[in-house]
Amino acid sequence: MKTAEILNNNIRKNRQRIKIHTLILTLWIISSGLSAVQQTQPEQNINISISASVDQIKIPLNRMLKLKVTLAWTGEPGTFTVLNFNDPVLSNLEVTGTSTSSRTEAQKNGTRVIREYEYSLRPEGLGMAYVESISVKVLNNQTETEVTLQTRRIPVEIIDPVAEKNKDRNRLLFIVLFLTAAVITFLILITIRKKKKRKSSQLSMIQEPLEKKYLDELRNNWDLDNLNLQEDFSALSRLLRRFLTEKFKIRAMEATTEELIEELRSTAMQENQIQSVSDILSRTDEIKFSGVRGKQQEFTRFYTLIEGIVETYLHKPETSIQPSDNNNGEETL
Amino acid sequence: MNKDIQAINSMIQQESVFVEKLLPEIGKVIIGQKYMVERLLIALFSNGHALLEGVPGLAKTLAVRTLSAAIQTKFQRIQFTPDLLPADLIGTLIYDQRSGEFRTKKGPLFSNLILADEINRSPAKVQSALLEAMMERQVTIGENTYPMDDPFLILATQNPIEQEGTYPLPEAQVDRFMLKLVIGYPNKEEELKIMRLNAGETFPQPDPVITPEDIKRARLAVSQVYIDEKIERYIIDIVFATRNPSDYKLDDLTDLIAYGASPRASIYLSQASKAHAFLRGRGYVTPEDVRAVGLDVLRHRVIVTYEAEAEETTAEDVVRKVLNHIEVP
Repeated sequence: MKTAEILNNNIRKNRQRIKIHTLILTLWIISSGLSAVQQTQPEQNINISISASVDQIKIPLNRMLKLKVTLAWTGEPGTFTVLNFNDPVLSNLEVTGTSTSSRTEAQKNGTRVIREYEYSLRPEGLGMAYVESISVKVLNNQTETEVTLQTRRIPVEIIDPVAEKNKDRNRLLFIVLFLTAAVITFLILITIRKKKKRKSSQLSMIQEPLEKKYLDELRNNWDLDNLNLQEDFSALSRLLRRFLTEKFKIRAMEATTEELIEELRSTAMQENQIQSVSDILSRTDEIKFSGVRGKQQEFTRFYTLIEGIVETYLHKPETSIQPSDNNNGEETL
Repeated sequence: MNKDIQAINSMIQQESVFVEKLLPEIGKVIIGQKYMVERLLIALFSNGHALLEGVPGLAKTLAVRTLSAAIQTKFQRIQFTPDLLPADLIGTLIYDQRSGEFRTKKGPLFSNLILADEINRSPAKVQSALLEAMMERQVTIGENTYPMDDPFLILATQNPIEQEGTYPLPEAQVDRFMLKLVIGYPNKEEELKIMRLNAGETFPQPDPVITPEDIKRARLAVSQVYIDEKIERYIIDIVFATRNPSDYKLDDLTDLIAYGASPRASIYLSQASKAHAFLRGRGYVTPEDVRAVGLDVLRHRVIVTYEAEAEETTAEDVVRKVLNHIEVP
C-alpha cells in the first residue's frame, strides 16, 4: 500500500514538474512569439534593430507588392557599418525594382539613424508567396564586433487579379474619341453636301437668268426704229463680248477679235455660231475703228444673230467651258 | 470723212501690193523667221530702228543683207569691237597734202541699211555716236553737218550670251530703238529646209523687187493710215498701265516695275501699229495691230525692279500681263 502511495506521490510530483516545465515552456514560447510579432530582434547590449514588412498580406495577381526592410539604431550614423545585406530570398515573387534611403531623427534619448531598403515585388502565380528571412551583417565600430541580424519569414497570399481601372478609362476614352470623330466627320460631310447643293442651286440660279439678263438688255436697250448707228454698233459688240465672258469664262473683253475667235474654238460653242460671232465682231471693229458708217440692215442682222445665239443657250444651259491659254501678244504674218 | 477713209483704204491697198512681192523674195533666202522679217519691214516703213537679240546663227545678219538686196539699197555691216572708234563709224577729216586742205572721209554709217553687229561689244562713246546718228539723222564731221541717207535704218544685234567684256546699252539709249526683237530658233521643218538650202552648190540670191522710192511712198502711206481715237486711248492705257499699274487693277505689278514706258513708247506703238495695219493692207488700225507690235515696242522700255529679278520676272512678262489685262476698245 505504501509503495503504491509513494508511486502515486511520485507520479503527482512528476506531473506537477511537467506542468511547471510546460508552463515555463509555454511562457517562453509566448514571449518569443510576441517578439516575432513585433518583427524585431534586438541584440543584447547593442541598440540596433531590423524589421521587415509588406504593404499587403493579400495581393491580387495583377498588383505590385512593396517590401520594406528597416535597419535602425540610436547613436551616430557611423556607429554601425553594414557589411553584408543579402537580397531577400523569394518564392512565387519576382523583384522588379529596389530603392534605399537613409535618414536621421532627433529623439529625447539621442539621434536615431534609420536605413530603409525597399523592394517592388511582382506576384508570379496564384497561391501563397513567401519572403524568406533576410540576413544582415553589421559591424559595431565602437566595439569592433560583428553582429548578424535577421528578419522573420513573411507569408503573402496571392489572390485573383482585379479589374484594371485605367484600362476601363482608356477604353472609354477611345470610345468617346471615336464617337467624336465620327460625329465631326458626319457633320463635315453634311456641311460639304449642303454647300455643294447650295452652290449648284446658286449656279443654276445664276446660269438660268444669264441669257435672260442679256436678252432683256438687248431688247430694252435698242429700239430698232430709232438707232444711233455709230455708237450702237460699238455697244452691241461690247454686249456680245460681255456675254461670252460670262458664259464661257474667257477674257473676251481684253482679247482682240482674232484672239477671241481662237479662244471660242476651245469651248463648246458651235462652229456656225463662232462664224457668226466672227462676222459681227470683224464688221463692228471696222465700223468702230475705220470711221465707216454701218447700215441699219446690218445692225438689225447682227441684233438678230446675237439674240439667236443667246436664246440657244437659254434653252441649253449646260455648257462645257475650257478656257484657253492667254495670247502672248505676238503674231506673225 | 467716210470718203476719206475709203480713199485711204484703197490707197493703202494699192501701196502695200509690193509687200506681197517682197516677202516671197526674202523667203527664198530666209526660211522661217517671218516674225523677224515682218518686224524689220515695220521698222523700215515707220522710219524706226530695231535691236535684234538672239543667239548666234539665227540668220540675223543674213535677213538684213537679204532685205537690203531685195530693196535695192546700200548696205553696210559694222562689226562692233572693243577698239572701234566713233570716227570708224561716222567718218573723219583727212589732210590732203596735194590741195593742202582737210577732206571729209565719210564713214560706213552713210548707207541705207546698217547692220551694227554685236553693238554691245563697243564702249559707250561708239554706241553714243551711233545712237546720235539714229535720232538726229545727221552727223557732224569737223565743221560740216551731213544728213544721213534716206531710207536710213539701223539694225543692231546683241548676243544674250557671252556677256563677259561687253558694254550693255544704257536704258536711255535702248529707248531710241523703235523695236526690240527677240529672235527664236526655227522649228523642225524650217530647220530641215535651211539644212537642205545650205547643202546645195549655189545659194539663192534675192532679186531687187522694190526701190528706195517705193519705201518712201510706203512710209507716206503708213503715216496716212487712220488711227481712231479709241485706239489712241487704248495705246495710252497700255503705256500708262506700265507706269501706274495700280490704276488699272494691276496691283501685283506695282512692286515689279521700277520705271514704266516713256512717251516714246506711245509714239512708236502708234507708228508701228499703223505699219502693221499697212502690211495687212488695211487703212485703219485695230486693236490687233497694237497687240501684235506691243511686246516688241515695250519690252525694252519697261525696267523691272530687283524684286522682279529675284522672282525671275522679266520686263517681257510684265508687258505681256499688261497687254492681256487692258480691255480692248
